[in-house]
Amino acid sequence: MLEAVNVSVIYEGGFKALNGASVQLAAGTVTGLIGPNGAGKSTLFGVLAGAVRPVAGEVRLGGEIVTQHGPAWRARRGLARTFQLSRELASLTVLENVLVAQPHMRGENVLSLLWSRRAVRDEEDAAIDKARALLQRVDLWKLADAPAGTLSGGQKKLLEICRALMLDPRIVLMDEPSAGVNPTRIGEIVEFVQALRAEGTTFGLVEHNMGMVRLLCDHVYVLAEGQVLTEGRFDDVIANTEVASAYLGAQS
Amino acid sequence: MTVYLIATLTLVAIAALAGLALNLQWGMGGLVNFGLFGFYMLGAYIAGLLTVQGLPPLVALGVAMLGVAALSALSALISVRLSEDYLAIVTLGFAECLRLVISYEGWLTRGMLGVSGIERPLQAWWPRGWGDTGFLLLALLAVLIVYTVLQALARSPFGRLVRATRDDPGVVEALGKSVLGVRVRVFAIGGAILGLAGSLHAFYYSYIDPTQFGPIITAYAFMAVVVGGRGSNRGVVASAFTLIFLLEGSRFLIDLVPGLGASELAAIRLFLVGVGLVALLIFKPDGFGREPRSALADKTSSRF
Repeated sequence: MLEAVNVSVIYEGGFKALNGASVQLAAGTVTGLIGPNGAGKSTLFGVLAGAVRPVAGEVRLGGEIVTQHGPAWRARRGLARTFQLSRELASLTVLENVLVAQPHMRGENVLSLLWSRRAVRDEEDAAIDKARALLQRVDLWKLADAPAGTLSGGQKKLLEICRALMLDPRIVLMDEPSAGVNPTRIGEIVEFVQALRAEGTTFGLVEHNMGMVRLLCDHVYVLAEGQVLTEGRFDDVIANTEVASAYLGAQS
Repeated sequence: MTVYLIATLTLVAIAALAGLALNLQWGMGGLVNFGLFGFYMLGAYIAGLLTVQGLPPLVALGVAMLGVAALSALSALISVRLSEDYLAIVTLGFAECLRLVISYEGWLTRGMLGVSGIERPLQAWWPRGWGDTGFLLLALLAVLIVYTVLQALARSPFGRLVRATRDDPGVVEALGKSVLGVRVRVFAIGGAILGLAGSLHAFYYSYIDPTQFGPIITAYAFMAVVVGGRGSNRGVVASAFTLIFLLEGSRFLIDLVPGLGASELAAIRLFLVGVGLVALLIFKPDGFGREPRSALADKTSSRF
């Protein structure tokens, strides 16, 4: 379980992106963060992932206070994330992008390369099998040897999801996974997430596609101006008139 | 002519080593090491000073490699939070400091007088008159070993991680890997190779002084990597070869073009190298070589 308690973030220049926001991602559920642009969703995401350090409040991962730990530390404890704007490793191939996420690779240690070549190869082969299974699920295996920088925007999003899942994460934070993705592919992402949730993976989702939020999210937080406006089941939350004016009103 | 060829090839080998080291650090790792010549100089001085103290040259070479590797790793630790441009400034400053220390701490380094009488390794092995050839073979062997090791590293999971930190260190952090750890290791390995290149420089000339070392060494190494293609070890070796032969071979222009003085020729040679580089960056900005891959979909060539 991952939670942020009363976190505040002030960016350089004094902009208060978050003002005492609290969210909880219960184990084995999909939690959505919605709200208008500038509400602080991505900042809150950064706080949960460890990329943004809050000036106040704390972050707990599995009950442990992790506010002071960075993204690498949290990733090693099972917290994976994708980015709002795809951050593929452009010059690496699609396959390499996924492989690089594999944890505990002895082949990343220079001395092991000398002394335990066989173990390194076996690990690499196992990692390739795992990567292939992930890439085949999103139909990217046929592009395995293409440089990731040559993929389309939607394919990059899918690649990032595969890369995050390569960590065997307990918790996955996805920042607008549907942005730029072909509508038929969005269905695949939804199925993918539902299958993993059934296996016990926890998800946090920032998303503007309300259809996807409705399909996926067990619990939704509505953010506005750096604070949690309301929370609950999607249908209940969306019926709330305050939300309609803060979020949906802003769209219509 | 043979003598000249052997001399030039020895220079090629040393330049190739410096290029390969930079290809690991900057080509694969994205770490702009403008201080390359400082590490190279340090290698030359450690090897040279220890050899004239009576240590066997090969032992001195080993110490130089380890010493430069350690100092490189340290400089990577200091510059952990620096990205491209700032790292370039820090490494350049570091190298200049090193040069000043070596130039003026005469009690240790003999200052501007330089270190002379540096003995070459394994000289007893070769028949009389074949010393230069023997040394060339040794230098080529060094290039071969370093090339093989770097190729294996480039294809390994470690090489993949190094290229990943070049493309986006933030992603590598988010995947739970230590970017600092990668950078320190890359700087250490590159430093060892620069220590080797510097040692060979000292052995080859048998005399070193601070004026032999300057940013031009860094510039040539960057040229080799740019022309060879960032990340391509093969390309870097080939371009080091081409570059040195162009620089050296153009000396003979003086025989071919009438009315050309030595000083004009010197200027024209550098000018031509510059023109060639600019033309290359216009017509083939990625250089000639290609970066090796760690794994391919069919698995057959994912060997390292």
